[in-house]
Amino acid sequence: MNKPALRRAEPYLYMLPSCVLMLVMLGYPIGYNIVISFFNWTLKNQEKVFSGFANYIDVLTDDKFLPILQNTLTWTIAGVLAQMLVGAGAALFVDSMGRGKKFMRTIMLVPWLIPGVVTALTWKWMLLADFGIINYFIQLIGLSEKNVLFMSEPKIALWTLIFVNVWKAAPFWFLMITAGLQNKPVDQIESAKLDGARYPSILRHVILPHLSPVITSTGILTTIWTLNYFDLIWATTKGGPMDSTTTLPIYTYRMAFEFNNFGASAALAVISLILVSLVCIPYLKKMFGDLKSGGVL
Amino acid sequence: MKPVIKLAAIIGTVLSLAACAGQSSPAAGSTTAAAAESETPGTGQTEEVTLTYYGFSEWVGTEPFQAVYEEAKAKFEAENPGYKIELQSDPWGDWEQKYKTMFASGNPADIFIVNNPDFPTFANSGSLLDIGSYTGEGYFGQFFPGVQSMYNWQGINMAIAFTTDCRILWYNKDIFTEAGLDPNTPPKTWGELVSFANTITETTGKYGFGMDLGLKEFPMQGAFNASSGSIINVAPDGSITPNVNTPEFRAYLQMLLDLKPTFEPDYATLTHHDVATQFVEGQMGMIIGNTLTETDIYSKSFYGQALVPKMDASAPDGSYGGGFGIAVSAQTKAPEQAVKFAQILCDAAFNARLISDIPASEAGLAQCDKSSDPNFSVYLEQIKFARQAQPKTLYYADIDAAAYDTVVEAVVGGKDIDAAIAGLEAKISEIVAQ
Repeated sequence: MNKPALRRAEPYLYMLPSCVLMLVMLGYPIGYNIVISFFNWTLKNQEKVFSGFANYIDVLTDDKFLPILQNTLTWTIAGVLAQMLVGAGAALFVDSMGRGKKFMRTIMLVPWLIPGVVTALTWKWMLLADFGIINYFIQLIGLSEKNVLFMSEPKIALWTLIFVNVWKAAPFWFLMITAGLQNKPVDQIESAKLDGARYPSILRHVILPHLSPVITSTGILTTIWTLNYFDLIWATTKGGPMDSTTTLPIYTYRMAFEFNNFGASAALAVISLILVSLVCIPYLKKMFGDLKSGGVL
Repeated sequence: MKPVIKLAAIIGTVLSLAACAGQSSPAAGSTTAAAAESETPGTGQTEEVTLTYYGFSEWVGTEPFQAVYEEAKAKFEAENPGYKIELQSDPWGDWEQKYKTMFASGNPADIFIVNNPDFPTFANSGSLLDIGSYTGEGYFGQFFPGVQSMYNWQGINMAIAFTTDCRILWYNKDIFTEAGLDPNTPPKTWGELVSFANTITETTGKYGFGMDLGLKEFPMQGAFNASSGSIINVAPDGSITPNVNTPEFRAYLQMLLDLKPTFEPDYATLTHHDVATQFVEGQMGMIIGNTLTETDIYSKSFYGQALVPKMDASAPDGSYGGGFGIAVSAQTKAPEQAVKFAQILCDAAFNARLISDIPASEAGLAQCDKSSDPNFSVYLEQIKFARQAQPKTLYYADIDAAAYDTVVEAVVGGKDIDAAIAGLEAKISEIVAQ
């Protein structure tokens, strides 16, 4: 190989091990999942029979699919927005504190460190209508005279779980935004203050643009995690009551392991993947744009 | 960067991240449990065959049962030189997912515990060995016929009955007394069950009946089975028709609606374990449950037990009947030896000591400490009448889930009984048509 060709190939050679690893660890399972989504494959009939788009047509025309898709979008969009507002708000507040920053940063991370199933079971018992401590306090301070059915009322259950997930996941936003604030442009902020700018203006025109790459990358991660989050819902409501908390991952799991239909389950997984891609592409475009404008790409 | 490359980079990143995100959902088990061969150390010639047994770690890996599994394994290995048993297990919560994945991926364990609702699925797919061809059909005569019949598919015994399970009525005598009911006269019919539960709630403010809809299974199947109802009919030619527009199913739904005011508020999401816990804490007048051995109920003085109330005085006794069998994979490398180990597990000398449930044979029961324990006398009486709400077909899980959805729509969603029944009929017909 001549020298210029080698020079051109050099960066790709550095990337080769990672690419091979990704192909084996990620590409193969995803590819296999896509392939089996085109086969009629159940435990009843382990002969995999090619069925084209039949699995997709079946799951997309199932009466349950649209409500479940709606639950999934509500769970993901409302959840990520709330996590961002709570986590970023807390990070900005703690950053502005004079004393106790270290203590607050430690305390804020605790919910994120607790295992998902422990979080789920703890909240499940706290939110019980009759013996739960939340209902006790709600009635103590006179917010309601009746027990609130946080987990058992179909109209409330999904929002209850979104709240619990925000409690658990907001600390990740807190952590990322706090990290981003460590190298905030102090000189620009000081100049703005000297020019008479108030905090909302500084936040909007100096701090948020500085945090933009962090917000974008954190947004991608938390969107994917939230959309795929399984433990909390499964350990509390198993998707009930009346499928009001069933999201695509819960339905995918049930399709495979309750109804033993692996082909349809694979089709649902592919639909989830497409959904994640659609949700994340704007984030990623923004991230690549930021990297490009920063001269990284 | 060129647009095409940029797009490819974006898609690649999304795919990678999405795949990584699977970490929070339960990863499908991938442990290979196929029989493995290896050379006997030192000889370099004789091949030793390892057979894998897969079960729950609550039994296989927990004392006092673990030692008995080791004892069974030692007995097998002594009687079958050149063959080893490897005991594998996962907790109850992961076990079902794992053993289905093993079969789906073509890597089943040689010998495994099978949940009876899953049995037709495995049997029909050709995954299970015809055990009778190794043991002789006479071997199965020692097991309770009703229980063993759960593991017979198209006339072939493809698993050995290992455990039995049923539901009984538990009631709180103190709450009965407080409500002005006779603590020694539990309800015998659905009408009395509804009446007693409402009396309890109205007079004491406590929950008359503990309901659980948290698991997506036919709710209160134990009560429904104390009637002559069955939610499907199977004709001799194998064709299946819905059988829910019947007095039995209608009365069952009406009973649940009449009981509803007495349920605990979170009944829509609580599981039978949650409800059993609340019953043991003295918060409920009645529940329909199993032995409750996972709780400390037997240290309490307030509890009473009775057969499950029947639809009416003339209805047959009944309850939900469940349990597990021991099956052998059709893919095992050593079928004869695998069947032998299955037989050891189901042998009366071992069976009762390997499980916390009730053995599935008269001889096993005789070895079981529960057989002479007065705390289990009602349970052992009830088990004679245990059955399931539908005959075993390939569609068991789908029909069971449809029945669950119907009950939830009626009880939680307030759907009219006629509409709920019509919906279930249509759903069952659709499932069968597929």
